Amino acid sequence: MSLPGDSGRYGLAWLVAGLIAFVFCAHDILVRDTDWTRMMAGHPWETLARFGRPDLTLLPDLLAPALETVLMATLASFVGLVLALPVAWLGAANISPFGLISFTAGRSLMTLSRSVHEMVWALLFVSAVGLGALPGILALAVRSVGFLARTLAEAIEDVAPGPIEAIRATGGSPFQVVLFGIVPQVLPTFVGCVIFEWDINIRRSTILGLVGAGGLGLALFRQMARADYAGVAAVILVVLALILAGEIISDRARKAVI
Amino acid sequence: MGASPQTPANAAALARPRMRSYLALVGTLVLLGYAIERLNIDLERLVGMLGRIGTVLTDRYLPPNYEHILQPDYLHSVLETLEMTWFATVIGLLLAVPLAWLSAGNLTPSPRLLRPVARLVIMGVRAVHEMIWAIILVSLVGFGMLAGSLALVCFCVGFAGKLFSESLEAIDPGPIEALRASGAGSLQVFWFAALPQVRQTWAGISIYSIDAVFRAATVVGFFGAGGMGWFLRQSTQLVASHDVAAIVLSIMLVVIVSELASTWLRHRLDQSPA
Amino acid sequence: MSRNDAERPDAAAAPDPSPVLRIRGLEARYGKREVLRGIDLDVARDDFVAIIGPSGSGKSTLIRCINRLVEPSGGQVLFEGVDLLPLTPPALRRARRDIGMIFQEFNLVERMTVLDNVVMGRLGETGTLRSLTRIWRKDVVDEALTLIARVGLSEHARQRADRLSGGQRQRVGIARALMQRPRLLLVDEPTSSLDPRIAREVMMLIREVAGERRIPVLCNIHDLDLALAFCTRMVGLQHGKARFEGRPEALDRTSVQHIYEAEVL
Repeated sequence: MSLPGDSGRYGLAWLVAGLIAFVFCAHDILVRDTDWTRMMAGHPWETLARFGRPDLTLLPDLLAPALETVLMATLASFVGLVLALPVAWLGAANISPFGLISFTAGRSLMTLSRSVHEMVWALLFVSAVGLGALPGILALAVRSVGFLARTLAEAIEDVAPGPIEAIRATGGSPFQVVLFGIVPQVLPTFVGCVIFEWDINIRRSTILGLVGAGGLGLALFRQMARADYAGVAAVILVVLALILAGEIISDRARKAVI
Repeated sequence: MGASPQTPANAAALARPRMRSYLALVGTLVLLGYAIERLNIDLERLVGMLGRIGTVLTDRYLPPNYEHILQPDYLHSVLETLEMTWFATVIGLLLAVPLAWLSAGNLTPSPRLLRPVARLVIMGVRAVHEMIWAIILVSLVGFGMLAGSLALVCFCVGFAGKLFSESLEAIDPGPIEALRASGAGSLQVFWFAALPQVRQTWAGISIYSIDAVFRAATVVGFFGAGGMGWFLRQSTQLVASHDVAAIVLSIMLVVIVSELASTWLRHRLDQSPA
Repeated sequence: MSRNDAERPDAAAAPDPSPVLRIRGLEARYGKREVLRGIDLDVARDDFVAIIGPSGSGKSTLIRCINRLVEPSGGQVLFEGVDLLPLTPPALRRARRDIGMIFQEFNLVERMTVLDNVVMGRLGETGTLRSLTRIWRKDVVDEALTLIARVGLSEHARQRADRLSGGQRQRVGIARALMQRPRLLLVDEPTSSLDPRIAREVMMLIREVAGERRIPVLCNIHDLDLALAFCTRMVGLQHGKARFEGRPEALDRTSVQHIYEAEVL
């Protein structure tokens, strides 16, 4: 494993320190914190085996929740996209409206969005708008803003200056400079990122069952509560299928915009 | 100049591709409307939401109970979180390397058999959210750090495996061809042609993984899988909102510190010679 | 185009010596470095002025100081008698509409069609809503198509700009500048990114379209042979000062050596 400042003797020192830390952690986790006899008494292998036989009879009942999950992820990604636009505008060094102040504000919002886990966001929104799909979607949307706004801001900072110069030279307004000079250049990157985030939001929406948002998350938590591991495995299979489909769709979509 | 004025038909033809993007726009709006309808989202609840969040924050959560996060039990859970992070990242990265090698289209020794399997493993562990992994593993091995660590290993394999494999697929094919031409086996090709090219990128991805795993580690405990998350769960259930606020703040703090550290390290890495 | 056709210079048209552009004591600096140190220059109605000089002599800055893509630090730029330097941003945008510009790297919006790029020459007169929907007025589209035909790209009007070759892209850039119905053309190294044969064609096209419309041209050019072949007057620039000004015939070897001194060494 290559570590920072990996040059000769420092590299070796890092490696040794990392190994010692690893052994220490492993001791705490595997020896001090784990009661192996009790664990084996719970027959984990048998439980695992039940995961291995997904209950396929459940599949027809999972179609509607799957659709809901896709819709939730879509809504969340869309709201996240809308919220990300102003944040990116603030946080892109070359177009930030009030210099360092707005730049710092934009970057702080991005960090805030990403440093709070979607679970925590969900809990916060539940206390503001009650249970249901809405707090879940808001949580995912707010959680998406950080990544979307940051990639957009970076794309804006990397924009080629030529077209912008040309549009200014024709007498275009600042708005037209953004619309024709910046938007076409950052669009492919940004669409790619939104699709990527959508894919992740499908994954994330599975934990929204916690806050009473429907979809596969709810189905998952139901099976879990009944300790129906074959059912859990079936739900996970459906999630996997969605993500596979999402990957194919996003691949197509990305090629279409470029 | 002699150029004849353009016929309207020509102008209409020019408008056609634009028509498509308007249709796409309308389609998107319809889809969003349908989603709102289908998910029973009551948009009225959005009205005054910001105000309500403000009220909830000031009435219930503020001021945070800082004593709660300074108690030794909680501080110990922060240490546990760090331990789980390091343990899981090291194992996760070690597992991700062979998986990435097997699943990279340009390097895999077995494109028909092992490549799909490796890709499915990476995609499968990614498809399941780290919290779901935590729940599943708690049901398998019981409460504690082991369940959380294993959940984080899964998360790390999915996270780093995908990035590793993508960076392998992006390398310069020249050295690979050269080594293959000299009769090297696929493991030798990987070791001598691919690794040197991705060393720097992989180091960056590794640091990034530590950061991401740590972020997940702060909350996997919510379902009893060790670390700070357990305290979040307890105080949420007890509706001890001032404690919750303090815990959330402490999570944000450690995550931001970890992100700053990871950004700084990756920045330094970019500047060090390859 | 009929409007411009009527203005086509013929034997009867008398040369108009009054300057369209009059530059006096123009100065520009990047930080502490003085790039332009007091430039005086006139461009008349029928002029094709070439600015020659080694790289780093301030050619590009001079051109950009005229429409204030680079802010000058002193002097006067009188365009049709109005000094552009004190103008407020909205007034400057109005002034820029009348000054077309052609760039070294073409500066097209690569992901848009040739037609959209040409129509963008009219952005200054296009409202916000129309810009957003990109539903251009029919007469604007027709005029753009005519210009695209003039620069020989009719078959490519609906293609994306990034599909075109360098020479074709520069033709789009020329059409975009003409779309402004400019009363002055600023041309910045139009041929440096092109191979020699294409470069000659592009220069020829610029001279033709400018001549048809009687638009004065101020053109930066590195290539001395091209400058000699196409311009009516030359200005040699060195270290931010004009070292030579006159007709191309009057340019002798010593003055050239003088101007390119830095590079010859």
